[in-house]
Amino acid sequence: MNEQFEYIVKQISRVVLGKESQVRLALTCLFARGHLLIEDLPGIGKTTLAKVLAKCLGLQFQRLQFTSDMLPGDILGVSIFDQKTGAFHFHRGPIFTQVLLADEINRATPKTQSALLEAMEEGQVTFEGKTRSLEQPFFVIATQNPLEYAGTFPLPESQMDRFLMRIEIGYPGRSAEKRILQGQDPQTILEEMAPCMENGEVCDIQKKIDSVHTSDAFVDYLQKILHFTRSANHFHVGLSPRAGLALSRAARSWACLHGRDYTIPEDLQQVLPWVVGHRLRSAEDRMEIPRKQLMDVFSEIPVPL
Amino acid sequence: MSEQRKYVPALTLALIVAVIPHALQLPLWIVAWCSVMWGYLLASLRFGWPRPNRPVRVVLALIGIAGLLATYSTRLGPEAYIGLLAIMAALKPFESATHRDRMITVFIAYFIIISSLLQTETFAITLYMFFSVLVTTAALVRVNNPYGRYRADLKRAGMILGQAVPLMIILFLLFPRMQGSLFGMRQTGRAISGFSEQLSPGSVSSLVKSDEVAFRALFKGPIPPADQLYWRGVVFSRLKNGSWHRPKRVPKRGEPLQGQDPVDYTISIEPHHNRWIFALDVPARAPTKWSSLYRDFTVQSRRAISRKRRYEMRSYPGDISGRSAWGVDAALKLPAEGNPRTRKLAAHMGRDTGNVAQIVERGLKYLEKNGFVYTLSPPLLDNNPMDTFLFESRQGYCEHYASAFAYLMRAAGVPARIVGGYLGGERNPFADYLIIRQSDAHAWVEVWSAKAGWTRVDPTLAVAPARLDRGAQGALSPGELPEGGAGKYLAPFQSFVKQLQLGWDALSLQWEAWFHGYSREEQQALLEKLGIYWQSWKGMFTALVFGMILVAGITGLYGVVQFRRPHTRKAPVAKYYEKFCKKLARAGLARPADMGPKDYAAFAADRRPDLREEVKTITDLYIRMRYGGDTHLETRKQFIARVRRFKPKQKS
Repeated sequence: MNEQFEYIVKQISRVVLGKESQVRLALTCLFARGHLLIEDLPGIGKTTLAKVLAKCLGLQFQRLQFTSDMLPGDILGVSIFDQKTGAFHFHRGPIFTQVLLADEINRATPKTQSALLEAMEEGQVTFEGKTRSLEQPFFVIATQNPLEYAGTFPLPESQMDRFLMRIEIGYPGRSAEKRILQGQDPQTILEEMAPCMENGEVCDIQKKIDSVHTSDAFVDYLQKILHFTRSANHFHVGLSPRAGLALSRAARSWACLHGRDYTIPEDLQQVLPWVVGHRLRSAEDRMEIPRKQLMDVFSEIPVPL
Repeated sequence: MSEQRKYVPALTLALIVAVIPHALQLPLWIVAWCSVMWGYLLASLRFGWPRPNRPVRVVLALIGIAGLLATYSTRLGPEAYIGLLAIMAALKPFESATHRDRMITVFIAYFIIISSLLQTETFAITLYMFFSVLVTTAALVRVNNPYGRYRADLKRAGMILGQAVPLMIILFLLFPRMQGSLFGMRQTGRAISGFSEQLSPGSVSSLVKSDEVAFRALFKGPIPPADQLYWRGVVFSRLKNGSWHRPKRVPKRGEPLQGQDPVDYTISIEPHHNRWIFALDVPARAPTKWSSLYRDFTVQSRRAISRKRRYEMRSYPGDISGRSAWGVDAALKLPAEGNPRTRKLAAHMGRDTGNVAQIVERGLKYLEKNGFVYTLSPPLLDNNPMDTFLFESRQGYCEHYASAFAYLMRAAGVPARIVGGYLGGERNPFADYLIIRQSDAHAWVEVWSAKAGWTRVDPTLAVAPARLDRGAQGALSPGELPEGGAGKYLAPFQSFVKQLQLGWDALSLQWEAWFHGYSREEQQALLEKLGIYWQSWKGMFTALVFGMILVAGITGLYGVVQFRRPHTRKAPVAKYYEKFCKKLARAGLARPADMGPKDYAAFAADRRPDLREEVKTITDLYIRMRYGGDTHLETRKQFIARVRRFKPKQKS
């Protein structure tokens, strides 16, 4: 498992230069059956990351640019009257794919956002009374621009919860950027790239992650963290049980991808800031807490022996 | 890769040790196949060469099976099964990614070890099996606990086997003895030389060149003198077409023989695929249920002797009273014509007397006086072979002398027949028994007189008296017997090597007496002594199975208790880890509270590279127990021992 994972990371890093840890997190999120929210500026490589992930894992890919005049039907699909047969035909929307890149999700109206988020949670689409399952694995990578607020509808906290992780990509390092500027066009590399995984393999790994062992000691530590967010006066609201499950799942995925069939505290520490960052708000101003500060706060929790 | 290194060498070694006893029986290509696979595997670990993936392994397995089919085609005997096992065992260590794979490999090794019993049950193999079981068990220990040292693995394996000894003894004593060989398969032996149904010139001298053991004889009293060590096997009394045959029908003798000065002894006979049972001249009775005494004083088994057997015998080497006159008429028959000169000589010998003793005397004197030579390579005898031998070539081995003498006696009117068997034997000083080899094969004559009954006459002794005390080797001129290939080089150590061989032989015999000697009858006798009377072995089998289930149940219960214990006693693991952290803290490497164990190990190793190995091992053990669900007592012990031993000295 570990070797295969490292290989995939290496392949993706050929396209997304110098962002290995983000690649790892994205893969961890995907294999944990979670959805990913990328918050960053335009032009940083969000779309490329989503595309290369899909390609590398051998999954179908769709991109959807969200706008304020978008309707749920634009995502889910529409029924059109066929004059020849005299019946309605359902035309599948872009959501019927495996990796969906939802660009600038905060530009759409809450109604449209909800349609997507519900599909994400349920893994199925109900339209005009008929339920259609989405193909597995189904993975949404949503992006939003943290700086532009004019004409946007920020996702409410409850809906942020649907994303397992939220990551930032950030500017590339100096040497990585030099390679970007000098090197081959990522698009060409992407097109030449062969998938690293076969059909169904992603689901196999997801199943394997479900069976990763979490010991009592690990759960103790996890509970300590949850309890800390609820009792310490840093946070407006503590983490929900759903957030606890998300943490556990992400840690198991991280452990499995790093070649272990059991979790250790380090797994939790690795995924913690990315899983809880968008779920916690400061008690003072109810604003999001910068990551640096968040990590400082969490370092107060001792790892139980 | 490093994961593999912990297990694969131990597993491969176990397989190699298990397969070695089969190496001689297996076709050369399978031996080469195993060597190449294992060699490559070990080299790939050392140098990081690529290992075959699943499709390649499947193809290799198919190739191996095809080779097996080509070699054995439809002869699916035990060899073919062992060949299949060896081929698969060569491939299996490549597939050791999961714990399950590794356990399967260990069980394959055990299976190969037990399959050794299909081939032989000798002492050496049995001894070796104990060794290979030890190695395989050590591999099993390693598979379940890859952190120990190899010495510790062996020690633990030894302990496990030691604990199994009582069970082994109980099973040995109580497990129903089956009639016949293990698994009901005939043991595959080499072609074994021995006497056949007929005696013709050359049939004894061909045996003499073989050094193989025919049987061993352990006497209750002292070993009888050399002139009494005639081991009777077959009686040939029909002369037909120049060779001597055993009569088709010899009646059984109901009552045992009576005599004076009985000699009691035990014979352990090697398989010779004939029915003869050898006994000191003259046997008193049939030794076992599966054999009978015949009226020509020979003993025969009901079935051909195809595996080692032991039997207790009584003989009267001295005087025998109440001899049967059976076969006297047949012992006078000669072909109507041929060998005129011999007949003339015989007539001359019997000219003026009817006294058997006198005629025999004259016959022996003739052989003594006329320059006969005792040799293994006599010239060929054509028409009238007796004439040619007695008057022209005058060179021969014991069968020539016995044959000519019997002919001569018959022609002179004295009933005579030939007895085939062995003469003498080598005394083993270590356990005071005789080893009788094929090279001791001999043939002699019995003559009948109304007064003395059948009397043994050995015409060979008239020619080569040394045959009696010094064996064939001493009686033949030097260079006639081939010397063993290794013998030439070992000449300086000959006496030492000889001692070694004899010592080993004595040990093996002891083992056989103990292991093979424990037959069904003895088992029943033992059980009856214990007050257990079994009507059938089925009842015993049921009881045994029941007993084993009981033992397994108790063991299982104990295991469950052991397995659960670490759960309830979790604290000590953390306590010792804390101790370990404190030790590191004293060395200036305190653990930040929010640091997990793995990060802490890396943190410590980063600052103190000299402690890297130890810190990593301890941390790995801790993580396995605390987070990996490893509840083995062994892991715990090891962890505690390592933490105790851990001494990070302050860096100067």
